[in-house]
Amino acid sequence: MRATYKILKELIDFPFAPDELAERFTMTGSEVEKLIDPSMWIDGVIAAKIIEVDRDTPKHGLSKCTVTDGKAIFSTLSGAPDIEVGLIAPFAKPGAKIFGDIEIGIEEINGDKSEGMLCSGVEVGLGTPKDSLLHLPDSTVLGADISEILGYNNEIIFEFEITPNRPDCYGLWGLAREIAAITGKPWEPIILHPENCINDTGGVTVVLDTPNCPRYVGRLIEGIRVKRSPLWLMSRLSLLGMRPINNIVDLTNYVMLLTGQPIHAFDADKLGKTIIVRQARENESIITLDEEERKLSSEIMMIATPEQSVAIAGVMGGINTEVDNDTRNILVEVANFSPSSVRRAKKITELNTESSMRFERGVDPQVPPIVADIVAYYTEQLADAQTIHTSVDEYPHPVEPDLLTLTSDKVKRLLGINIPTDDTRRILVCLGFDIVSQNADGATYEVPTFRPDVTCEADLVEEVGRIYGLDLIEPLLRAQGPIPPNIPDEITFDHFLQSYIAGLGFRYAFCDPLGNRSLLEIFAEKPLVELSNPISKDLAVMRPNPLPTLIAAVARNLNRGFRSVRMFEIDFGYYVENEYTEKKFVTLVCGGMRNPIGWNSIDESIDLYDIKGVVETIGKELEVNFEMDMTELPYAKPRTALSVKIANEKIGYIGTLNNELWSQYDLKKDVHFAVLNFETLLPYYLKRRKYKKFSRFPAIRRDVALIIDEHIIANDIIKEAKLIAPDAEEIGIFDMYRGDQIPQNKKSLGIYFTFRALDRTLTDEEVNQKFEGILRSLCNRFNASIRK
Amino acid sequence: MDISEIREKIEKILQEAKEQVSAGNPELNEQLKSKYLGRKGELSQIMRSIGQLDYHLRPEVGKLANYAKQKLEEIFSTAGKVRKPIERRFDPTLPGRSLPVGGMHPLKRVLRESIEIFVSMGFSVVGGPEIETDYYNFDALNTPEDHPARDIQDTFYIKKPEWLLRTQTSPVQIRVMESQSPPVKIIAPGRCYRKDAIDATHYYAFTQIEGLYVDRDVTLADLKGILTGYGKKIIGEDTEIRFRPHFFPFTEPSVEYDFSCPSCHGTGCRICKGSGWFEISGAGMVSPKVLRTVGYDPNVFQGYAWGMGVERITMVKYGIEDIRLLFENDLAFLEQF
Repeated sequence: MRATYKILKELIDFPFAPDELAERFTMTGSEVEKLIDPSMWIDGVIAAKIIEVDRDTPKHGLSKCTVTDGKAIFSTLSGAPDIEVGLIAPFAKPGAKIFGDIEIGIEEINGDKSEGMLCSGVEVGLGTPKDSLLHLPDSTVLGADISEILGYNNEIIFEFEITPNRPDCYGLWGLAREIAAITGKPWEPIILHPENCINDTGGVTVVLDTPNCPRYVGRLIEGIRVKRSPLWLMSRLSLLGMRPINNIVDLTNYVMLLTGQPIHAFDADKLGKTIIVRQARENESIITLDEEERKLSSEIMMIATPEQSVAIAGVMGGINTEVDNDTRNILVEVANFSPSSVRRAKKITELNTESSMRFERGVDPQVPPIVADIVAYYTEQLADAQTIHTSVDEYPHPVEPDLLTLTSDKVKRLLGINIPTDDTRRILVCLGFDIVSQNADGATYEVPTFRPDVTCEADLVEEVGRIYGLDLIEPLLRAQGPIPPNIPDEITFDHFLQSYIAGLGFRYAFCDPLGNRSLLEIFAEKPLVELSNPISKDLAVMRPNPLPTLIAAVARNLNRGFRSVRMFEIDFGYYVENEYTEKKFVTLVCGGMRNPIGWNSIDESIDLYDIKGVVETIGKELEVNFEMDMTELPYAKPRTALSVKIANEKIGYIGTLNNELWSQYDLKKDVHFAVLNFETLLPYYLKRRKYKKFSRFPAIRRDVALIIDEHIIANDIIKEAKLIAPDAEEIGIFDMYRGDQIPQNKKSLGIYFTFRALDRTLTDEEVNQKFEGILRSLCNRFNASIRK
Repeated sequence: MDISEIREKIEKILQEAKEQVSAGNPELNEQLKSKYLGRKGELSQIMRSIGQLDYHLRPEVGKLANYAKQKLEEIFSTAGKVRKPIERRFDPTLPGRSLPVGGMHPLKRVLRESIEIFVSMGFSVVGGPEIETDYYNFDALNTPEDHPARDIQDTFYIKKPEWLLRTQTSPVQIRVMESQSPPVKIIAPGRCYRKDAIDATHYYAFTQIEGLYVDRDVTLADLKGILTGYGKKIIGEDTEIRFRPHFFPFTEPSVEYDFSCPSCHGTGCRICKGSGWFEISGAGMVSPKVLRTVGYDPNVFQGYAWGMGVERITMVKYGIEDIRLLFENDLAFLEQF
C-alpha cells in the first residue's frame, strides 16, 4: 500500500515532516518500508510546444520537430505517432534526466541533430501512456517544470507494509485515522455527493443468490464520456502505484485507494439491468479482463446476468462487459463479499488483484452507499455524467457493531504499565471506537465495522498500547515462575558431544536437511519423506540422516584445496516408519591428509582406521563396548563397512565411501564416515559412574607374534583371546606384518596381553604358565605358529 | 640379564661410538667399526646373550639390537663422508607438532549460548517435531485455512494431506500447553522451514527459539525485560531493545522486536544499513483464543511468547552479511569461530 505526504496532508492536518511521519507510522504498527522522493525521478523536463513538424523524415523514419519552451527553440527528433503542431508536451532539454535515471543529451541520427527529447507519460514517471506523448492542457505555461505540474515537488511517497489484520489501512482513510490517533484529534472523512441525482434506480435489480455476498450496491450512471483522466488524477494514481487507464477505471481505482472499498464499473449497455450474485456452475468459464479464459467451480462466486457471467466476484471483471471508449452508460458495483469466498476464488484462479487482496482481508460492510456517492460525484466531475440514478442497495442482514468493554486494570495487567484513562479513551475514540457507556474503571465501546480484527478486550489493549507507545514500557526483569528449569538430558548430551568431538579435531558443519532424491535414496534404509511443493529437484526430499549432506560439505572443502577435512554434525534424519519419524544421529566424515604440514610430520592419507579410532574413543569416553563387525553397505567400498553394535543391537556403522559415488560429489579421493544413533548412546552418557578400586601393583606384559592365515581377521583373534584369557587386564594388537620373513598368504599379528592382580605383584612364573596355556589354545584354534 | 640392562648397555655402546668416531681419520673408524659391529664386536656379544633370556623377551631384545645396529652404521657412514665435525644443536624454535583442530559452528555456538542464557532465566527446554500437522502449525495458532496470514509464510507440504514442515516453532507452544497446566515457562529451539527464495537474508531452513511463559501476572513489560536481558548477554552489555507494533494471529498485542546495532548502538552505520537497529523477530502476549484452544482460562492466565531467528542473531553478533555462509560450511569461514 502506498500513500503520499501531500495526499495525506489534504485529508488530515498533522505537524510532522515526512521522515517523522514515517517513523510515527512504523512505531504505531503501520510499517513504512520505503520513502520515495518523486522529484528525483525527472530533472530539467519542461513544458514545450511543437511549432513545426517535418513528419516521418525518410532518412530515419522519425519526425523532425521544432519545439519551444517560450524562450529558446530546439530541434528534436521523435518517433511518437501523435506529433502535431500546437501540441504542448513534456520536453527533456539537453542535460535533463527522465524517469529511469536516463540522461538526455544532443544526438545525431543519420545526419540530423536531435536536441533533447519529447516525452511520453512513462518517461516522466506516469504509468501511462507509453508509446505516445503526454498531452498537456493548452493553458500550460511554456517552460513550466513538469515536476511541478505533476505534483512531484515537495512530495514523498510512503510505501507501507500493512499487516493482514488491517484491511482499513489499505485505504487512505484508514491511514488518516491512524494519524488522528497519533495526534490525538478525532477525524471523520469528507463524503462527496453528486450535485444532480434523480430519484429513480433506472430499473436495476439485484438478486443475491448466495450467502457469500452480504451487501450489493449497484448504481446506474448514464451519459458518460470515456477519455483520458486529468493530469492530477493520472499523477496521483501513478504516485500511488497504479497505472492510469481511462477516466472511469481511474476514478473507481482512486476511490478504492481512498476508501479501501473495491469498486467495479460495467458497461451498462452490455450488461443489462438485472444482476445476479451466485456461485459458479460446474464447467462454467469466463474470459476475464486480462483476456484469459478462466475455468470456474462452484466454490467461486460470480456476478451474472440472466444470460451470462460478467465477473468473478471481488476478483476481476469479465471482458464481455468491459468499459471501452464507446461506453456511454455504466453500472457501478460497490459490494461486500465474504473474505473466505474471495480468498478461495483467488487461490483457484491464482488472480491476486487489488480488489481480491482487500476483500479477503475484510471490507467494511457499512461503507458501500457512501462510496457509491463518491464515485457518482467523480463521474460528474471527470466523465461528464448526464444522469445519475439512485443506488439499489441489497443488504438483507445489516451488521450490528460489536460492543467491547475495556477496564484500565486490563491494560495494566497485559502491558505492565499504567496508561491514564483519558489517554485510553482518546486513543480509541480517534481510532473510530465510539464510547457507549463509561464509568471510573473503564468504558464500553462500539467497534467500528471497518475493524473486523478487533474482537476481544486484548485487541483493545493492543490498540491503546501501540498508539500510546510501546517505547514507554520499561523492561522488567524479575524472578518469576517455576524453578528449577529443566534441561532435557538429550540437550545436555548433545552439547557434551559437540564439545567432545570438536576436541577430537572435527568441525561442526551445519548441513542442508533437504536433498536430491536420487542421491539420498542410496543412503536410505526406509522410505524417504518427500515434499509435495519443493523449491527445486535438488531440495525435494528430506535426508534420512545427516551423512549424505555432510559428505557434500567435506567434498566441497577437499575440492577447495583444504589438506585435511574432518567434519561432524549431530542432527536429525527423517524417514517413514509407520509414521513420519525424526531421529538424531552423530555423523562424522573425514578425508585428505592425516596430519597438518609439519617439519616432523609424515604425509599420509586419512584412512578407515582414523574414523574407527574416533568412534572407539567416543566409546571409551562413554564407557560402552562397541562391537564392530564387517558388514556391507551399498555406499561403502567393499571390505570397508563395519556395523557398530552395543550388546548385539545395531547402533551405527563405519565405512569408506564407495568410489562409484565420487562423481556425485565431485570427489577425487577417499572419504571415511561414521554414523551413530544418538538416542542409544544417551543412556551410557547418563549412567552414574561409580568408583572402582584399582590395583597399585605393576602390570606384567607378554607379547607374541602369531603367524596366521591371511583370511583370519583381527576381530576373530581378539574375541577368541578374550575368551581364552578372561583374566587378562588388556589384550591388544601392537604389530601387523606381511612379507619376506613369513610364508606367502600368511600374516603375522603381534598381540600383547597385560596381567595384574589387585592385591600383589604377580610373579613371572605364574604369568608364564598362564601365558603358555593361552598361546597353545590360540595356536590350536587358528592353526597358527609363533613367529620367533 | 633383563631388558632394561640390555637397553642400558646398548645406549652406552652408541654413546661411546659417537664420541670415538673421528671425521678426519678413516682408518680409526674402520677399527672402531669392527670393534662394535664385527663378528666378535660388542653388539654381537649382546646378541649372543639373547639365547640365555626368556624366550618371550627375545623379540623385544631383537628389536633393540636391530635398532642399535642401524644407529651404529649411521654413525660410521656419516663420519666417513663429512669433513668438518658435525655440529648438531637442538633447536627448540622449530614449530611444535601441530594437532588437527576441531571446532563449533557459529550458529550452534549461539544456539547453545542462547539456551544457557534462557535456562539461567528460568526457562525449561522442550522439543517438538519438525514434520507437523496443519492443526498445530496453523489452526491451533488462530490461523485457519482462509486467513490471509497464511500467505505470509510459504509452506512446504508433505505428500500426505495435513502434514507439513513447520514454518515456526510456535506449534510447540500448543503441544506443551495441551500437556500441562500453568505455569508454563519454556523455550523450544529447533529447525523450521519456509519456501522462501534463497538470498543473502533468506534460506529455506532456519533455526528458531520459541519462548513461552504463561502464568497469572505475566506482562509485556516482563517480555521486554527477558528479551533485553538476553540481548545484553548474547550481543553485548550496551544492547537496547525496541518493540514495534505488529500482527501475528496468535498474539494480542503483537510486536516485532529489534536489537540496537552492536557497532553503532542505534545511531546508524553501514552494518545496520543506517537504521541503527536489527530486526530480530516477533513476539507478543498469547492470544486469548489460543489460550482457550488449549483449555486455559484467559481470565486467569496470561503470558507472553516470542520467536527468535538464531541465524539472525548469529549474523548480528558476528557481523555476517550473508546467511548462506552459515550453510556453506566452508572451512575458511568455520575456522574463524
